Amino acid sequence: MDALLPFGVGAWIFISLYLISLIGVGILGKRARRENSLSDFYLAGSGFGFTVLFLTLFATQYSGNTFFAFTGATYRIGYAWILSLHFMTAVVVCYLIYARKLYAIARTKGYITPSDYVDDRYKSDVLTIAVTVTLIVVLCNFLVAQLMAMGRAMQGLAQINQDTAYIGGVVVLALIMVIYGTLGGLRAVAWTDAIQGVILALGFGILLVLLFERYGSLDEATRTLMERDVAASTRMALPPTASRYREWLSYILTAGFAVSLYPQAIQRIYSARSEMALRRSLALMAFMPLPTMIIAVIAGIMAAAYIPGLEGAASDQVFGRVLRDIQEHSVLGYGLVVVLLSAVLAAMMSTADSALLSISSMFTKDIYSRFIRPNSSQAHLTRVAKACSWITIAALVLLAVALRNHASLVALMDRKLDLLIQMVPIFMLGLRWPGLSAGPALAGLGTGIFLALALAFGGFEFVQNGKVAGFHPGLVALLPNLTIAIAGSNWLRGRPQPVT
Amino acid sequence: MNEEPTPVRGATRLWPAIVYVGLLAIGIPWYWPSDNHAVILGMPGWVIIAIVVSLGTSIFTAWLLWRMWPEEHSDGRGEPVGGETD
Repeated sequence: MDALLPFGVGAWIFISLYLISLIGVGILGKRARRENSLSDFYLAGSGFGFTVLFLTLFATQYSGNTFFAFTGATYRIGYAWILSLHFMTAVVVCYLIYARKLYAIARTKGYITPSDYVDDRYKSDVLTIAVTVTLIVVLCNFLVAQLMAMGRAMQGLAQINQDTAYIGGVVVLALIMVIYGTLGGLRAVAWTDAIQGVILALGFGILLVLLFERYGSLDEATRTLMERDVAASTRMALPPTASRYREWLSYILTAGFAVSLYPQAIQRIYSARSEMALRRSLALMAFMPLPTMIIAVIAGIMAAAYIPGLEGAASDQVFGRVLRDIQEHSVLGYGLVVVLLSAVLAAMMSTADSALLSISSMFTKDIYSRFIRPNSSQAHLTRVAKACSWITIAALVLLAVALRNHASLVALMDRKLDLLIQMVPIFMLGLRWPGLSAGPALAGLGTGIFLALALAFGGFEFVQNGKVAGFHPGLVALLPNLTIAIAGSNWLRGRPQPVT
Repeated sequence: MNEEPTPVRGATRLWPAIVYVGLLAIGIPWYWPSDNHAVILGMPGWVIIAIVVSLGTSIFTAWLLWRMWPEEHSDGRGEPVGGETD
């Protein structure tokens, strides 16, 4: 986003007021606290109704990536990125497999973290620790990526030294996030998510209007790309190749299963006030990919048609180029870009704060209170949870700062979906099939993680662009994972097949 | 819910999955002729197919959320972890 015009005082006041208001929400969240317990801190006493639950699910699921990475991906591969519409819908479809059942059990048993279910279901400390550690690693990866995205966004906004802008952006935004998060717990995070969700939806709407106002009709952009396709033998607007369609299938399955199992998503399921609130929120979430993904794709298509020539990392910043075009076009455009960038910051913070709270909850509930000080009071655990949030964010801010000039390292770390999808047998199958045993589930998980990482980093010739014949390593590794879990459980129980 | 929960078991539970597989097969427009340059509503025809099927998937998912969930136990109290025991 290094192409934006300098922001004026008014724009900075607007952004600062927005950020300060988040701390105000944290204070309100603290005042609304009913008791000093982990359940109240991490699940807001399981009291979220339809509106807050829907907005927090929306803001958590759609991050800054929706604007930057998805627009950049469309810029590089063209209309084929409409596949994002399918995989974001697949996430909600995958909730159907387990959400209702897990919600019902969680309400009865008082679960707080995803590992509470694992411990209760499988009665295995080793499996519970393995799941907890894997989820914490995935979330730390996820949180660092969000912090780095915040830093890069601030590099574009502030007209100062780039390193100073990056470090300042990461530190200030992380500080605001951890303050409201530790003040009000999930209640504050979800309330800020609700504000951020509204700004995000507003941002998408504004973007669509600005795109058409600046670049003209979509029809013209599409025909421009088609003519270029015919001349240069590319596939920006023409139907994709067979290998691209295999990638579609892989993305739909991998993202669908993995994203639906993010710990923060599971904890939002726990926090629903009623099954009706959960059902209505998920039903509305099923429609959200349509406006958001289509607008992100249209932005990428307009950029591909009218701002050609960006390659490599610069193509990821094409959204910034689009914004600069809009800024220069009119005074109204300048004002709306300010709102839009607030929406981008909102999207990044609302995704990051949820991940931070989940990490803190899993450490406090699943590691500290289980193995370090088992008989701690709820008040003591809540203090530990807050301290954990501060320590975690401090460590990850340092990591985000250290990695700021090593984008390739981040790309190597970006295997969270490949790891997360290995949880499918433990959560989705385990809820549906009582025959699944802890030992085989653990063996399957270990095998799946090892294979996914080996395929991704092993340097095998048959792995191209990080994929096996177009399929994600995690999806390929899920097959032996499932096989071991099912066959091992049947062998242990002496049963020929699972009962559904 | 006032209605008594209806037990739904075995293969009858699989029909939504079959519908989703069908939607997936249509939603990935592998069958679209590579030389077809049709533009509908400003977008290539194969993109419109993907969008329409995605809308269909969303409607079907929302319908399932309303229609199917009440057919399972409505409050989950006392439900065994790991589904029905056998």
